[in-house]
Amino acid sequence: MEDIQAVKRVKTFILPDKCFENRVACAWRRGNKFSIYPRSQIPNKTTSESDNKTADKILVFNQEILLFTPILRKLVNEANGTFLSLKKVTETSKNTENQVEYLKLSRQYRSIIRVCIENLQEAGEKEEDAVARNNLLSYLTIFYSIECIWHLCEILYIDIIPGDIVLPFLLEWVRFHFPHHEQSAVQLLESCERGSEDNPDYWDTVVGMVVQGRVDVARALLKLHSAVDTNEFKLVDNSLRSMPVYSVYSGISTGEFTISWKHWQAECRSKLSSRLLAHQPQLELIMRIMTGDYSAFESIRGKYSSWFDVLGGWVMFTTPWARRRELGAAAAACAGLAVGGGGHLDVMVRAALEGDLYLVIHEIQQMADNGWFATHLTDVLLQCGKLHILDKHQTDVTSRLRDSLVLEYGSLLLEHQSLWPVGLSYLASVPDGARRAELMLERIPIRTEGKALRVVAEAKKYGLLGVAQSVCSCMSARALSRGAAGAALAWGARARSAAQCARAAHRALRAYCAGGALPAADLLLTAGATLLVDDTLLLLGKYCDFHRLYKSREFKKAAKLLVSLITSNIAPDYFWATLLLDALPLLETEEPVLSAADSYELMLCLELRAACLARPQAELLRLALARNLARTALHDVQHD
Amino acid sequence: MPLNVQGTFVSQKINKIRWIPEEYVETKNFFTGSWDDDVNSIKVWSFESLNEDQDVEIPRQLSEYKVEGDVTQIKFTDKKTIAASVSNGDVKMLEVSVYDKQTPLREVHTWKKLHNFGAETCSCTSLDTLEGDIASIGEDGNVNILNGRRGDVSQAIKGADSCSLHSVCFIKLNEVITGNIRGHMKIWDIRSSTNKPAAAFLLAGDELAATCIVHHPTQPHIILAGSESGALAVWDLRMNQFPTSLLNAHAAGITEMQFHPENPNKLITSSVSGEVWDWSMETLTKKAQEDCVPLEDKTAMNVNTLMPVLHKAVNTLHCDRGRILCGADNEAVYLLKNYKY
Amino acid sequence: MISVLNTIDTGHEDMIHDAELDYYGLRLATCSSDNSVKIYDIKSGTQTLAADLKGHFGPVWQVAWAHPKFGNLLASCSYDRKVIIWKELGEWSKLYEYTGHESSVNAVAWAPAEYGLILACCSSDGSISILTYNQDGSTWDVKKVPGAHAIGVNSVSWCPAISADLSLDPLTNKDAPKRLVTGGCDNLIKIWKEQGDQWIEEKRLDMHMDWVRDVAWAPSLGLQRSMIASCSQDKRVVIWSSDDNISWTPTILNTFDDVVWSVSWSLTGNILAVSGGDNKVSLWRENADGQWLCISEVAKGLGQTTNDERSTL
Repeated sequence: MEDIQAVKRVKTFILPDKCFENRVACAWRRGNKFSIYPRSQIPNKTTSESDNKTADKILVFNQEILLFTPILRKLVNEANGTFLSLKKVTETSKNTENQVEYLKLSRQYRSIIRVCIENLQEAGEKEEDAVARNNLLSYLTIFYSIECIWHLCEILYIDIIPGDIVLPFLLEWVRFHFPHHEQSAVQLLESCERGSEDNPDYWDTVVGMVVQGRVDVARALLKLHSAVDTNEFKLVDNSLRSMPVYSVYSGISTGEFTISWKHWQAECRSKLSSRLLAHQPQLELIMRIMTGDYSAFESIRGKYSSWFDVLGGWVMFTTPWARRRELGAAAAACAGLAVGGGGHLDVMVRAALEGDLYLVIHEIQQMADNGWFATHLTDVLLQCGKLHILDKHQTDVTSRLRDSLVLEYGSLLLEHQSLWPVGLSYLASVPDGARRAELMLERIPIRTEGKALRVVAEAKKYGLLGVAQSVCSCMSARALSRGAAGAALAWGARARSAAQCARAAHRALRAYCAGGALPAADLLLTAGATLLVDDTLLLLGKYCDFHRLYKSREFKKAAKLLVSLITSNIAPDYFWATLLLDALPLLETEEPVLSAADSYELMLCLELRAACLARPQAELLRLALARNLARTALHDVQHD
Repeated sequence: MPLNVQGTFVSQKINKIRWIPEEYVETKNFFTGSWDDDVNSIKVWSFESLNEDQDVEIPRQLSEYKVEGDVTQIKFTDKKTIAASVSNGDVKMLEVSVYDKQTPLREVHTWKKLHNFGAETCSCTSLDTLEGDIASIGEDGNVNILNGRRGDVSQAIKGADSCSLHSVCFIKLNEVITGNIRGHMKIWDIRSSTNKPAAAFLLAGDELAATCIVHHPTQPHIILAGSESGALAVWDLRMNQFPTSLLNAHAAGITEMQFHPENPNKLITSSVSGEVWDWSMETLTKKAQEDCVPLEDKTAMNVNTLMPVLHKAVNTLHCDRGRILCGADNEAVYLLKNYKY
Repeated sequence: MISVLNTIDTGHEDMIHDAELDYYGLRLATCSSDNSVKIYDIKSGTQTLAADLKGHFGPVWQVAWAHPKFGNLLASCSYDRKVIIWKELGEWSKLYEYTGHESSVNAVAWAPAEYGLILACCSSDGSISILTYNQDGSTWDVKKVPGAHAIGVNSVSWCPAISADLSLDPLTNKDAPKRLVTGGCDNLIKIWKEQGDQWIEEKRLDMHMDWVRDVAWAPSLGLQRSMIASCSQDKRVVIWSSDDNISWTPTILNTFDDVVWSVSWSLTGNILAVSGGDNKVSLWRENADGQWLCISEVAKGLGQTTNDERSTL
């Protein structure tokens, strides 16, 4: 592309084969699959290729879908269950408070992600192939980010926070996703040696614990220092111990808390300015952190992998009373600590803290997880009523955004050999999904009746009756092309399609005329009301019954049925000969079974349809009818 | 202890699930057969406890035997051998090692393309076993009786049905009952040389498929059939033709039924609508002995839901004392523990 | 990430003019200047030649699969002025041959299956033919629209059975009039409507400045909106949209470097593939603001360099 800047999202796939040098075109398959073939527009016989066989190739393209790897299929299936449960919650109680339920389901999603991460870790440890292991590791990175962002969004938008004071939750989030310092703290405390400062990680760990708000742990670690009894250590320990911690349940108002906290921090500041800690630079650093000194945070930033690692600490030592919606400034301050940065995760965390969920979702879409994350998170946030996205014309496009994500994700799954019912359940939950589901569901390759029955059952479940009918019709056509009249009729009847039933019935009648046995007698004799779907089918069914009666020597009934078939005039032209000639043996029975009136009727039909019969056959029938008329003239047949 | 349900996702839709019996101990091993995927297989699994937590048992895959098509049925011919039907028309007899379940399944016999439309493939839709004999059925409408010891076809009823057959059950050694896509049930005397059923009747008037058939373990003249509609029909073969009861049961097709091996008054059923139920059969079988009791509502029966309703079909179940295994279309297997029978 | 799933060596002795996948995407039909039509079975990873259909005596321009509820039917049209409908009954054989055109038949298209088995054909003789299968007599009725486009008709496409007639409920309007769109050498696009037993010109869309090479009516997604894509030798691709199938608004999708030969919609109508003389296939999609963006392209090149970036395609 020349204009690479304008369309930077265009991905180019280079065709390897020479045959595409002069011409190329595309043929679509189901979903987003397609083939590329060398299409020639002009019948140019003078090209160099025309003298012998061409090397023309057709390439079938396929998108490799991360989610379709076996480990991630578990995630797909399990999340589908949660998605559908969430849908049920929103449907059953539209206006009441469902926050508790939403929180439960959000946590369920997170535990699904956790299981997925553990599975990926386990598989990564077992995997011997380096490329495959690298792939697994890259999936892991993706899912770590997903877990981290989901958790943060849950805290900021879904969780029920007493008094809306977010700090304890924020600290929990930091501790959960950055457990590195906590792990080394545990090691240090376990070995419990005086003089632990010799451990190169000692101070980083202490500072890390302070920054994560683990004051008790930090104090315990300080006790392992060989100089713990000095005044400096006692001073810092005292400050840490006396730090006021806000709790909704303590009965103190936020105002009172703010006053006592500010007082405590002022004390810390005065201790710092009194230069009491000048000889213990590490303790001084801790004290500076406690006073919310930006330069102190700047100095430790390099030891952390990301700026939001220190976010909890920053909020804790600057605005511990911050509410959920008041984290923008803290995010800006912490992000400002970073030198470069700006990966997806950085942008997402910052956007989430600043309340820009649209940006969060936009960034999520750039992650290579095939829409799993964006779809489910958007859905949860929307159902909680926490997502309000306006487009540039200030119209609310929230549900449109959610619907389009669900639509794309569902379509993707619907293409999969096994996951199609999962995909269908997503498409069925958005307004525009039905038609798309219809188009895709109809085209699912069906190899067995078992599959056909399931596709039909799924289609009916969502009211896609057109699909159910189309699938049954196709099964009928397929059976017919195999010559299986019974199966063709059974599926035609399922489709309630007069056209399919007629096709199958005509085939059966023609096969019989050509000398074959009458097929599908077991079906026709038990079909009942199904026969009414089509006239030709009705004829076939009744004709089959005629055979049954004749075989069981119930001649009178057989004769009556035959006459009704002939006089009803529903037989196709090619079947008249058979029908008329079937009267012959009934005219020759010892006891007459056809009445005088029947004979008249048959004579009339014979004369109207004489062209169907060969001359000698017609003569024979005329004679038999005349004889029957003669013998029934005096003693007519008594029908029971 | 209350009924406990544990699900494990296995990345395959499970069509059949079977406990592998053990001589003296409670078994931990089971078979699964998958369907509707690019590659399908019969797998052997074992439940393993997670290190400290004795209550949580996770299935671990021990071996995999790939087949070319959907696994449509698995039945035992003896304690270590199964007969499996496949949607490419094959029937296979496979043996699992008694000593080491990790060793791959051994192929005892294979009937390749036993069911077929000439060159086109045709699904072998189900089979049943009795004392080493196998009765297989297919979309071709044929019934084949296979000798599991010799590995040959001892009897074939060609064109037993003009439609596809979907369920089959041995009533006694020389008698099988088949059900087709329209719910047309036929009883076949295997010894007879005519291709005519000994008896035939309809499951219901709705022309929907008979998806599974079982007979009562202690009263073999009582036959139950599950319908694609979710209805359950009961026949007393001593008075043919009309079901003694037709129960509107599940919301969608019944996929499998099993009488509890230890208590014949308990029937367990699974369905396309994602339900697993247990039924107290006392009333039903008693009534069958009295007189014809038509069209009954399931509320009159003693029916319990054993598991939260799944969003996808439950295709199969198998019970062993207080433990029930289920396999489902959400690519998961479920273990129900502490079932009271 | 897009990758090549498999490669099919066609074995055609001359250039290929069209390739179409069947309803399920399991079979591929191709046609070529070597007068033949070939059918391949393509299952994942393997492909086999299922049939080699010989019956035309000139280059075969286009093939089209019918809906499988009518059985396995394939229509082909050729420079030899013939349209052949092939049917598979165990083996592939000729079901019907239509010889009513006086010049090369350029394109064929089956009507939506809801209407029955109906085929539209268009020819360099400037006319369109509509062939309708009559079940009772196993015959084909022919309706011809002469002088549809001066010099010749290049392309034809049907309006989906479910479409944007405001006056009708979009999900049940099976009685909506049948419509089709054609593109021709008179630089025009015309929309035709069946009225009684006549096909009448309902609308002409005048925008292109050279021969219209291809037109494609987008699959309906149940929205109250119809879309038609057209491409021309004037190097432009135009998207026409309408709320009522009567008044149409054009949007120029893009002006390319070379003649654009073909446009085709993906199954669900959300992606348009454009291919032309610049030896590229580009895939386009409409964003929420109604802008058309190129999301992917497939181009000729030397040596294998696949792009590692995960595409959103």
